[in-house]
Amino acid sequence: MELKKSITPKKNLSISNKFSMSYGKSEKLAGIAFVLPIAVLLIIFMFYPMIQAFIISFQDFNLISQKKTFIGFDNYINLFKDKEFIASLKHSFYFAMVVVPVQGIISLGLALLLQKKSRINSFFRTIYFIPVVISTAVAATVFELIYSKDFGLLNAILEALHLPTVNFLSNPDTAMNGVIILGIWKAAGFFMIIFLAGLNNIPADLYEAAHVDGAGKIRQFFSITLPLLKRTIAFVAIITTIDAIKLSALVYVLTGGGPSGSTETTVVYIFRTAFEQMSMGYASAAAFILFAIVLIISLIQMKLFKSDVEY
Amino acid sequence: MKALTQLARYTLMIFVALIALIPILWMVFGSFRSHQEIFEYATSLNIHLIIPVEWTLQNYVDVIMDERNPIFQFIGNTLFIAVTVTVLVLFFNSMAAFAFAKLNFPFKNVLFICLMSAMIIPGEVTLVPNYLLMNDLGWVDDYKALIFPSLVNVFGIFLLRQFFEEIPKDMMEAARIDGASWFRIYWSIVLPLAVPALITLGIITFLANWDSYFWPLIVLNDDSKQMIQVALANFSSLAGTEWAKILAANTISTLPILIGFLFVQKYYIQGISTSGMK
Amino acid sequence: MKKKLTIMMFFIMLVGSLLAGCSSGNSDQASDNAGDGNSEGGVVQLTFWRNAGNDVENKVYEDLIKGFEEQNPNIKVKMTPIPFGDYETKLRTALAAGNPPDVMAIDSPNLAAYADAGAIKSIDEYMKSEGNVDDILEGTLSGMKYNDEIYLAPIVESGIAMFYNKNLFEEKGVPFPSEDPNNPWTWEQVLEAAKKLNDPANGVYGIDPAQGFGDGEGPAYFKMPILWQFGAEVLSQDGTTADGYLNSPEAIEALQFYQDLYEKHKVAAVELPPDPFATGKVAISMDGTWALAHLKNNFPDFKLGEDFGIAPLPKAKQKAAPNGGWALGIASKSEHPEEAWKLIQYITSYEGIKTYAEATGDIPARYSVAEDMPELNEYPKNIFVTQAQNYAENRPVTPAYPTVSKAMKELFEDIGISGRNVEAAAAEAVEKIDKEIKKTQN
Repeated sequence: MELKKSITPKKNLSISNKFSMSYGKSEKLAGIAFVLPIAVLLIIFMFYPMIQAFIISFQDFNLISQKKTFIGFDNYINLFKDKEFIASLKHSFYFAMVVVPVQGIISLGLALLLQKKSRINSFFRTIYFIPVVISTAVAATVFELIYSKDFGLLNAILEALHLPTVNFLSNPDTAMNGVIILGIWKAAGFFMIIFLAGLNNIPADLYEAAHVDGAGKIRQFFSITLPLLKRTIAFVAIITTIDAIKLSALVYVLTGGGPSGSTETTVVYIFRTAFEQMSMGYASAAAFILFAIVLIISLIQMKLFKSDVEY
Repeated sequence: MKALTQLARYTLMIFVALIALIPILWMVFGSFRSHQEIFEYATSLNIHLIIPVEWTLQNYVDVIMDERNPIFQFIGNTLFIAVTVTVLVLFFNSMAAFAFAKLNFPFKNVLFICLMSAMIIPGEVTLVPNYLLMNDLGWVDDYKALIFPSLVNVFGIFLLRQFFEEIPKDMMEAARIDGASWFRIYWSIVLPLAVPALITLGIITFLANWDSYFWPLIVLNDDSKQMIQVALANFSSLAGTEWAKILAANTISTLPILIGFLFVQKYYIQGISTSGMK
Repeated sequence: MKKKLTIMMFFIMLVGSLLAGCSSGNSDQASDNAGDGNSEGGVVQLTFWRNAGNDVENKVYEDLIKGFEEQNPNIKVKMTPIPFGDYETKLRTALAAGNPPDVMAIDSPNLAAYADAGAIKSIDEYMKSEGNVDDILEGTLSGMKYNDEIYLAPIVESGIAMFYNKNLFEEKGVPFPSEDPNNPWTWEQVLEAAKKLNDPANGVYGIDPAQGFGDGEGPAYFKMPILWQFGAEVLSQDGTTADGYLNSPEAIEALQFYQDLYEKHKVAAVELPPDPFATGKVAISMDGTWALAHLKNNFPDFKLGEDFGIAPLPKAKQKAAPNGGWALGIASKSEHPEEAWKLIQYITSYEGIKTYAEATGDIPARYSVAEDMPELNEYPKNIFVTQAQNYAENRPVTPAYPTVSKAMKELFEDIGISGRNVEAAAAEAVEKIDKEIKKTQN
């Protein structure tokens, strides 16, 4: 690690222009070489199918008939008038709007709780990571049992405490909350780890200095931890937003979109339309509307967090 | 006062741990019950909610001895795919992430937006075109169809770029002046510093492949090649779900992962605290 | 520099293997699509996809295939059992890509959609000349037809009946229901019993009228019979409209009765844990023939005859039972229709069906097999058989069926779970169905 010692800021480099020029050129070439494999794979396995799906979105395409007719923007126009599609968008956004902040706060909280390096903490970290590993189908079954209106544990406990009971899975108004709880349960441990990694990048001497200055724990959190964690927070926020709006797997296993379609998210709607109703063209158009919305949201989020996250 | 906050802290930690653990305890203990017992006690608060009344190993015998569904073969298949994909993902995506974090090259932003798009598009809609592509390549019923399309991991590029950006640029510039190639900088300076991030991505990629269900279901036709999750799905049929067997099979397929994680997380936690990024 | 070389090598290898994959794949494919029929020795490779069943079903299918291959040494069958819940997703993806299996299992109500799209071949001529169609249950055979042509060949017929928990009946002093399939209890009698049996404080509900609220085809299969029993239909005879049928006074009466079970009498629960009947959480449950094997294997202490009994489906204005199920068809794209037919003929022949029905305990789709299986004339199988032969009704035959099925599921959820006004919910279902029918007619 001899290299570390010879650190010199770029601007003060006292080397010839010739060198910097070749530096720039080699950097460009290297950059291209480094992304080339990924770029090739991206084009073949993601872009090519995406473009085809985009073309399909302008067609009336019955999945099993192989007959395709070009119908222009009809699919898109009809979708904007489709009550079920609009409702599915609402369900997806409701899920995202609750999950992104709540899950973020819970996983950051867990990370702060277990931040210090100790045996006990690493034991608990492993336990909190277990929900990430366990099969979603099994977890969903257990949650179904717990939630069950007349037979579930949750209501047994609530009744014992003389609290009002809930019926997550059979009440269209609250069913999505049941999905949300399962979602957070399943993913919080994972984002806890991402936050832990971010927290560990904050130099300890900053806290020491703050301590010397007499700053309390809470002030330390707001004036050191949060600002220095901004990059990680941005990352988690963008990723969870995309994932949350694309929610489908949890819905399939927990509610199947019911009751009365109240948990049918957009991706579930797309799947149903494509593979059960077999209207592939219509489903593809729905997917691209969702795509456009999520892309815009992501770009806005990136702008908002711009000070730390480029692009 | 301090003791009190400590007490509160540990109570909270144990409470959260219980919430995290109940389903897995139910699964593991449930795998030692007969089907008839599993839901008998599932709906009231008593000790047998979790602990079996009559312990049995029959589910394990049934699952392991089932010649039609050789579970260890499926686990082996899945392990092969998951490890292969994980190694390749780590390599190619860390290279790309390095370029995005540290190098300037043409079309960088365009490419980045393209990557984002790939992450945003729902897979349900590219399923048919993707299957067509596999069909054209002759990869239907071939492991290539599971490996190659999984190699681009946008999330991974994001995550690693995040880490690589923390590495001071002057360290690399110094190395450049010393005549190190870009590849050497990437390989012997950047990667070692990012071990925790690589392990995180490794775990996630491995898990994603271990859990992959839909794509293997669609592209593999030969059941002897099938992945574990698809095999597990076969325990449900029109007649009902073989819960006892599902729980045993899930326990068999989950426990190795948990043990593996316990092992890796030690290294992972160490990795974070000793990586000493400046 | 060395490292750079290594990575270059790696990349070249990757690309190389990619290309190798393509070329070898192409040759594979060539043999798949054209070559296999005409390859040396004239051995034809058939692909056969079906939805995986329980162990017994899977085993008997393997035995049948083995028997077929022995009888036809020049045909090899590659059978792929696919997880039940996602079978159709896989099948439809393969059809969309123009790469379907030669022989496939299709759920009969979806037949019209497949036939209308040209995905499967008519086997009318084969069936009429070599399939001994007169021996096939009449109701079953009509479910295999679209536009008067036979597209599918049935193996077994499905059937449901009323399962009741004898222990709970005795506990509450409720007389057992009639077991005569020609003279079943009325829905009123069932409701009276359910009210007496209902005991939510102790975790017992009176009835699960139609398998709760599930996904897939289950809801339509279990819930349409209630409409039929009250004298209603879902669609007009020619399948062109639901207006005047699904919103007819008879249908409204049926739907209202169903809703009252949940809302007014509160004898049914909207959420039930898995296996509620076998664990004594509901006293009366409508379930299928397949449940017998499931209960026998998984609940050895819950015995037929002692702990639970089986009675025919209740009637209202008339007796009605659902039928239809998984049957075999040939892909239009199949290169070996002759061989594919041979396979289907083998499986759906007298011997094939007998082997299958004896192993699984299902109701055979042929009269001749039913006659030769004495247990089918005894309790409890006689109930299913009599219903299938005399009172079975097909779900509507229309290419818009996927939408009909979805609308039925949503309709019963709306009235059962959400307590929506029955007439408004029915009107909405009619609107959805008619819109889709119009679309498929263009």
